Amino acid sequence: MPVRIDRQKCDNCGRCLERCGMDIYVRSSGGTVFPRYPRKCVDCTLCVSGCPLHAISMIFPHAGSLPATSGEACHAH
Amino acid sequence: MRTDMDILHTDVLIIGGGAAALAAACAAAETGAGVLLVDAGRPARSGSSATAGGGTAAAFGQTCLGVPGNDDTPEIHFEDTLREGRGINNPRLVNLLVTEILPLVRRLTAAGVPYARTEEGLYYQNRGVGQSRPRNCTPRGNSAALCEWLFKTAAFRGAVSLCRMRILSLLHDGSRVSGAVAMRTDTGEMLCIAAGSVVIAAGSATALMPYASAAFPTWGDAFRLAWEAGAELANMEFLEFTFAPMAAGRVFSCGGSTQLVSRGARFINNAGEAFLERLPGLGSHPTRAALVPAFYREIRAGRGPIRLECASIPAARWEEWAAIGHPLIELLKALYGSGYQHETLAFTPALHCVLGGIVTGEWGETAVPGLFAAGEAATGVHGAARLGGNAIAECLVFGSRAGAAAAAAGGTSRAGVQQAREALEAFRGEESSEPFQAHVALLRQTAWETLGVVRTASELERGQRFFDGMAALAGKSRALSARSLCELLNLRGLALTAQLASRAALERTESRGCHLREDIPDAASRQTEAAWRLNIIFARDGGMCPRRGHAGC
Repeated sequence: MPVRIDRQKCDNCGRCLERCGMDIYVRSSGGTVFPRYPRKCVDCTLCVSGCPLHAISMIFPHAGSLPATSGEACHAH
Repeated sequence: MRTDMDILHTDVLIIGGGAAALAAACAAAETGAGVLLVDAGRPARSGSSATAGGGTAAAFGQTCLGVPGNDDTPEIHFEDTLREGRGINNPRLVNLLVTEILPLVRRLTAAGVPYARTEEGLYYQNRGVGQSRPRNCTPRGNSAALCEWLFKTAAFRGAVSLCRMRILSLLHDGSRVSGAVAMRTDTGEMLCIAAGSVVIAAGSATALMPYASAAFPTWGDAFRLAWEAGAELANMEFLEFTFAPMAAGRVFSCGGSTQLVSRGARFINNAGEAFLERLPGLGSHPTRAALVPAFYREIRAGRGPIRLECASIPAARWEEWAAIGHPLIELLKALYGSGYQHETLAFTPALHCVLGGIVTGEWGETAVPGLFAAGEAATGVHGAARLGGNAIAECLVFGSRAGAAAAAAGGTSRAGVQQAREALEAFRGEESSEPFQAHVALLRQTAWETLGVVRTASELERGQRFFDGMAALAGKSRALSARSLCELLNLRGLALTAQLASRAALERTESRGCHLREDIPDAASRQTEAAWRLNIIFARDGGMCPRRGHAGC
């Protein structure tokens, strides 16, 4: 899951839901906004920067591990 | 799937949902015309604009990070743009860009777009890549905030928008474009749209390469629709590259690295050397067209990975940036948490945009009556490479002009459902067994190999043969389900883009701007510089044969 909502901070205002271009967020019948379709996330970070309460963070399984070489950039040659 | 089809009538149909499309919608709706905006994603949240930095080049010559104003003028902006575009920009369009963006930014600011300003009301102007003077006005919340404002304004003025709809084909009544056939991407439901005029502002084809800076890719729909309608396309050899961050084992579609470079960040190679500083001729404010090949060659020389070192950015700049917000900064924060300013991030070259596109005149008009184009879909302003900050400025100026002109064109559409059904025959039919998605992946890989940062004739010819084959296959394929139809549209749009790009790149036997021919010595390029100060143009009636000339309507 690439985004995480800090429930201590979130007031379910729905700003993330408005800003998401991929519609990964939904509001539950109880009013809670949550990332229902995280696999559709394209890491655009619009929800993170748009959250007025700074309640959303991006999470990466191997944060900080960088590729050993950037052969990807030149693999064609 | 429903087989019947509804019809919608509108004065102006606008295809796209980024800054150019929304500016067009605002301008058209302001005249009182009926406006329908149709976007493949969500308006204001799709295409390249949503995740762009939002820097808008406007030569106010006002404050820059506490430094008082400078001597910037529209004339200097004009010269910068032509220098970066290596002399093949359309000067009439550039002149309109540099003069009209000033009142437009003032108007937007007065109406509520949060462009960053000092307490005295002066614009903060940062130096965009390649600019001789700091010229970028940036909205707080970046381009996303700007698009949001435009979208709300367009809606307030009465524009209606439909999201998650792809345009399959434009309709033509013999004398002018009269509407389009659209499909809902989730249900496959078809819709006939009868329109007095049509504005294509659907971006370019950033999905052409496996790595791109835009989070929401565009698939060449704009080029395909205009081409099939009979419009001219030009400058297709100019694919602009930038850098995309690599982290957590993958490449992120995230732009903005050149902004960091222009504010003091440095690219370092695997030996920790700031290699750009040892290269002659880059100057103190290198352009993107100079930065990317230098970066690419460093990796090819075995000195990768290249990392961006941000520690040299002064603290005051981080603070200012934190207030405005930026996708790359968010990524850095997410990866490293506090202290992210002192980390390094690996980068790879990635496609930024296609500078080529639909040939337009001063009002966004194309060679086809009733058809207009603006933004990344159009060509002419930037020439062989794009000056930082000119992209959003172009979207605002020419989006507005195209929207106003389309509303004034005011044709009466005779498009009907029967005509839409006939147009659908080119797409819908017995499901082909072709794996479209796999073909798209292969096409993107081949585009990366043959149309990448540096090019050679032999590789371009290999690519051209492949793209021709793929285009033929896509042309005769049909699909039934919404998903397959979307994949077929992706394949057709990208195949056409790649066909034209490889032909134009072969035709242009020199290096210019972001078109780098490694098989042609620099000395030879210098000798033929003046002779090549022209555009390579494709017209439908000329088949795939390029013509040399000066593009413009």
